[in-house]
Amino acid sequence: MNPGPVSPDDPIADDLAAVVALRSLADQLEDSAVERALREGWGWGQIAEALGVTRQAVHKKHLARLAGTDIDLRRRNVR
Amino acid sequence: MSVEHEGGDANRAASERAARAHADASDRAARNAQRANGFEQQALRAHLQPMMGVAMMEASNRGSATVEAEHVLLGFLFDKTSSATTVLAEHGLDYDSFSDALAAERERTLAAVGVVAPSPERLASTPRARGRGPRFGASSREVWDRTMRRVKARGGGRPTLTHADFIIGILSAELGTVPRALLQAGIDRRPLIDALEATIPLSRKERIS
Repeated sequence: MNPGPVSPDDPIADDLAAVVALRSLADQLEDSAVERALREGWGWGQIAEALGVTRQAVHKKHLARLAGTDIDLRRRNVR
Repeated sequence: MSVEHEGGDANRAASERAARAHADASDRAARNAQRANGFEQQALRAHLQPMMGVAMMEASNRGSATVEAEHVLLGFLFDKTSSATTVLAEHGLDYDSFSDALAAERERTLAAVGVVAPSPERLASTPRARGRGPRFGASSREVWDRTMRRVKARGGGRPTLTHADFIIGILSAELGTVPRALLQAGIDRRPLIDALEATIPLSRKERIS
């Protein structure tokens, strides 16, 4: 059975679209805040703790993106 | 680094970057087209390369890790000279109006769950590293599948693809960001699709074959 047509502005479609927008906003805010934290001298461990994830997870997600920037990423592994 | 729906220097810089990407991709496309030895896949890739360059830039500027249908549509709309975009502009859909519609859709969708996005400065960041090629999201993969199904259903021997076919593939999505943005902006998709359909047998110059 094929489901019937649904309008893009159906109330449930609104909520599902909000999920998409919130995920995208969360990603953008994370990318920005992690970068600002590193610029301010935070350690990877501190960022991980604040985000509630492991240091390895933050490292894996953001190191490649920020390795080419002017942020000094050396000696960040102490904490 | 800019994010969507903000005017000023950041957007101008993003626009200039997109223009450069478009020019670079055009050069690459021309070189690749020369190299292409008649294989349709190669011609298709070369023909779509300028659009893809812009689509990737749009995704990156908007903080998206994947190229989605709305970025592909912006890529097509960026080239204001194609017959398909001329037809769309006559019906109120162009790069600027769609870009505004996307920003409004995002704002409205977030507001409906009580969220106001922070200022663009608090969202600005270095783009995520990506591999050699673009990473396509589910919505742009669906555009490809829908376009191919439609073109094959048209029959008449070898499928011939036009920009209009791809744009129809984008516009005919039932749900998602593109139909929501257009609906909320008061842009009716049906006349757009009909107008594009009408260009297909005529726009031989744009055919990829």
